[in-house]
Amino acid sequence: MRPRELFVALLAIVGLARRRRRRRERPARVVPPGAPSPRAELAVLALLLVAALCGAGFVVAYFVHPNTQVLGAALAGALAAIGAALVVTAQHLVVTEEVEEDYPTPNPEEQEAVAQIVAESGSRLTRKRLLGAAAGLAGGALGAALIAPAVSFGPLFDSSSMYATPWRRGRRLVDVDGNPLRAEAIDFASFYTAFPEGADRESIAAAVVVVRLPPATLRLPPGREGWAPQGILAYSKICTHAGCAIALYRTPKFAPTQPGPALVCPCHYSTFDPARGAAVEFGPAGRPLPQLPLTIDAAGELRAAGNFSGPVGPAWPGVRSHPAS
Amino acid sequence: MRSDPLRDPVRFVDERTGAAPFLRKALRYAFPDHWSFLLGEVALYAFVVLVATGIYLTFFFEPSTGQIVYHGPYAPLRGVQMSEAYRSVLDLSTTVKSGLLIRQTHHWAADVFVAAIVIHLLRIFFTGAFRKPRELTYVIGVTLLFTALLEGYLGYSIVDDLLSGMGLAIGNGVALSAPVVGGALGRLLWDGPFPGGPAFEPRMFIAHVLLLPVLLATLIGAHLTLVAARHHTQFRRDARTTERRVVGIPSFPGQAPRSLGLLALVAALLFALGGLVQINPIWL
Repeated sequence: MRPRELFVALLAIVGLARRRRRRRERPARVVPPGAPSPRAELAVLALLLVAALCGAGFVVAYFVHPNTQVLGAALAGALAAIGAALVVTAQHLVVTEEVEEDYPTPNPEEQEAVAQIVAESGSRLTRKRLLGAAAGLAGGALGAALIAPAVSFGPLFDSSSMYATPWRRGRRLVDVDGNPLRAEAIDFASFYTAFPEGADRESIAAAVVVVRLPPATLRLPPGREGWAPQGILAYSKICTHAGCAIALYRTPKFAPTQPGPALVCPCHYSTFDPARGAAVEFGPAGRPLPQLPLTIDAAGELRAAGNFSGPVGPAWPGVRSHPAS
Repeated sequence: MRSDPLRDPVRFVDERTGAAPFLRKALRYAFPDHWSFLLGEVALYAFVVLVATGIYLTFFFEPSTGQIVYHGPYAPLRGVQMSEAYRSVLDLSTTVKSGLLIRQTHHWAADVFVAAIVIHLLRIFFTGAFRKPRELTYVIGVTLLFTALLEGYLGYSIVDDLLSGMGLAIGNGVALSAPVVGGALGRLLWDGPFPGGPAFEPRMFIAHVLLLPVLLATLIGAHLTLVAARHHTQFRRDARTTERRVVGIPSFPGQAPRSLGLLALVAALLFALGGLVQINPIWL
């Protein structure tokens, strides 16, 4: 008989619960009522089915034919269908209503109370300024202690690495394939990129541009006599403005009316005059391209006759304080 | 009697947090109805897609400039010396199933994120919505724009392809040009002169995947909190819309499906772009 009693008891509990729920009164509506829209529900249903199909399509494509276009289209399709279903829901299925409320206003009494609490809390302190100064000192020292380990990030005080170049007296100039540059192969109206033989090409001081001008047209700064044998000149390929590569060489097609040869940076159009030690002719660069002194050895190949005339690359405060090393 | 979290979740939550008054206000928060108010949401949802796709990418990316010789399946680059960072992005784009889709979607989302912020700011600027009491919201928004630009810059810089090298060379020039401290700043950030020491790549990586995203998320949180605290601005539409009274669609049930729909549509657009429109083909 026990199972039967249990059943009856359960029925009684369920019945009581139901009656209690029925007795509870419904509060007034907050969200206004609206008419049902079976057509919109049907549209949402269809869109959700499309989303399911596209989602399943993505999984199938992933395992069978993981093509980027198919995967992207499937995922986009699923998301677009869900998005459309939500838009239809927003426009036709949820209650359309507007609510109004006041913009929040300032609370003058609370402001005053806050100011008062802060002001009164310090009333036991007699030497406020001294204590404040001491707290500032402690905070500053602790801040310095916490910031100090950041110096480990790099060589903060040793700037020697910024003047270092792989160029040394006697080092041969080689092209991108490692073949030596021969003086006789350097044409007028063309320009060549060269690297130091056997050195690291990652260094920004490695690459130079080589051009040839009629020796009579050269107006190099004093002290650079003999830096350009047969009119062949080498300059750092790195623009002194923002570090782009000097990738353009302007040569006049008709000398009487057109400006003379110039090394040009494509980034911001800094223009350097190779005949005058790469002095800045135009553009944002602040100093000339460093010049590499050249010499021609017995085999007719180009070699460095020393180091650059100045540090390579974009300028920094103090760039002129040191020669290239 | 214990409240049941499944049968009566509202009661369960309110008894333990006291959140019911806040929830009630939040559900009836008035959103003025104008399409231009969705521009900021587009930026927000692009950020959501960025975080989701970005987390996926971190599982495949190797932040190292260690040099290796490529022997992978992409024939044109076989035998070429490259960094491990570039190789990992190349592998992600060529051999990882759906890797290229996620990478391109991430890149498109970054572009849409910045574009949406700019258009959103234009709307704020030309409608005067930056004025008191919303100056802080505006300042945080402008800060967000520049943080997003820096984050995007680091994103294409860690790939270590040609674009990265060019961008970083200019970034290094900009750092060096800072008055007085420029040289020290450049050496400190780059771990030496350009192109920098081996610590530079992992440094950019942690900034791109942790420091700046956390900063962006914090700023977005502060931005949205301030928007809600002072409420949306509104266009004058009828006699009810004044400077003291805001009229709009309640966040629930009216605004919620619209906003979620916008999230799905933005994500759909980004995945469609990521799948169908090539962006930053690093293997060329």
